[in-house]
Amino acid sequence: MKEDYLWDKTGKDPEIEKLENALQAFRYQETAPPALSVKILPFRKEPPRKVFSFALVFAAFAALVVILAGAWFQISRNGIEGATNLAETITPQTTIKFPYDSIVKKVETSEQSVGQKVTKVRKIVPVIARQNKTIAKNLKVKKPTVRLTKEEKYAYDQLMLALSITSSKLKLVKDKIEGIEEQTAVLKDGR
Amino acid sequence: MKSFNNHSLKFILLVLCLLTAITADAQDARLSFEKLNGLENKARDVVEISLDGKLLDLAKRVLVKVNDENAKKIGQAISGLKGVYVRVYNFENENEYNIADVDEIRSQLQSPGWHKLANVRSKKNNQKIDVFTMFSGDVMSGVAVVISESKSIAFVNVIGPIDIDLLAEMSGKLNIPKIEIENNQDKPKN
Repeated sequence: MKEDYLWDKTGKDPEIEKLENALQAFRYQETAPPALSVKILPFRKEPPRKVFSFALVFAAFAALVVILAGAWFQISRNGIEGATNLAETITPQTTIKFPYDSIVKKVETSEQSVGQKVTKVRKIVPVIARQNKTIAKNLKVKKPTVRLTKEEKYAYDQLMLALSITSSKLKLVKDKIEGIEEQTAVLKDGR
Repeated sequence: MKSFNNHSLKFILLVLCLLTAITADAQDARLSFEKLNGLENKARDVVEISLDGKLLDLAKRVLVKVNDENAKKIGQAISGLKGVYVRVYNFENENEYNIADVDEIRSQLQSPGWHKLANVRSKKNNQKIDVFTMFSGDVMSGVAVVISESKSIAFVNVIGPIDIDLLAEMSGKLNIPKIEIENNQDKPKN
């Protein structure tokens, strides 16, 4: 048995040839590939989307205009408020009350010109006023709540119910008497 | 030594007499509602409140705690209150209660100490309203309200000083909604 025949079919090897002929029925035969049932679409490379569009530019511009207008309005409003505060501090009868008195007094006692006083007051007062506003807001929101025990709640409810009935009965009597008095007065006037 | 003992004994007796008088005075304003026992089974709506002693003190303390203008007013009106007793019975039909029982309570108000403040009689619903007050010197020591109608009876007995006008003003302003028991009788039962 020659080795070369097995590797590259060179030379002759009757034994191998015999075996090859016997197994010829199982030899690989190259045929066309089987047809696929699914239709395959060819891949097309699409051009990139246009990110830039006139509608987007217009929307961005409109948003910018709105933001700028809002900021301008806020600035101008603060300016008016500041002017109002200034007017309040300049008037001899100061409308600013207790919490600001100490600050205002400090400014007034110092030996400076009126113009300097105004600038100092203008700086200090709005800040405290704003702080005071926030405190007032907080006070409104945070109402003190009363925590009652079961016994306390029961006693309170009983008392309220008793007083409610008592007051309604007394009111009934009061209304009856007043009604009778009115009727008597009307009858007297009629005569 | 003997005279000292006599004096101290007299003093103790005097104090005891005074205490008894004060206690008796406070007790006098209390009406007995024993005759009404059993009515709670016959009535459609029943309210029975007996508030005194520690429970009343607790309720007064709560009124001080509550941060409300009306509560403060009520607190002032009832600061000297010693007890509140309320009985209200609403019936489905007429003549479901014994008028003699109501008259017995009215007769308690004929005893010395009680003064008639108001007396209203109306043929509509056979309504009878009596308001009595009791005074210890210049201080009011009790109030009694007796209301009887064809389908309902109500008794209010307040022991201790109380501002009646303020309490009448507070009607409907209390935390608990205004109770119009006298108008309930015409409404159908749910």
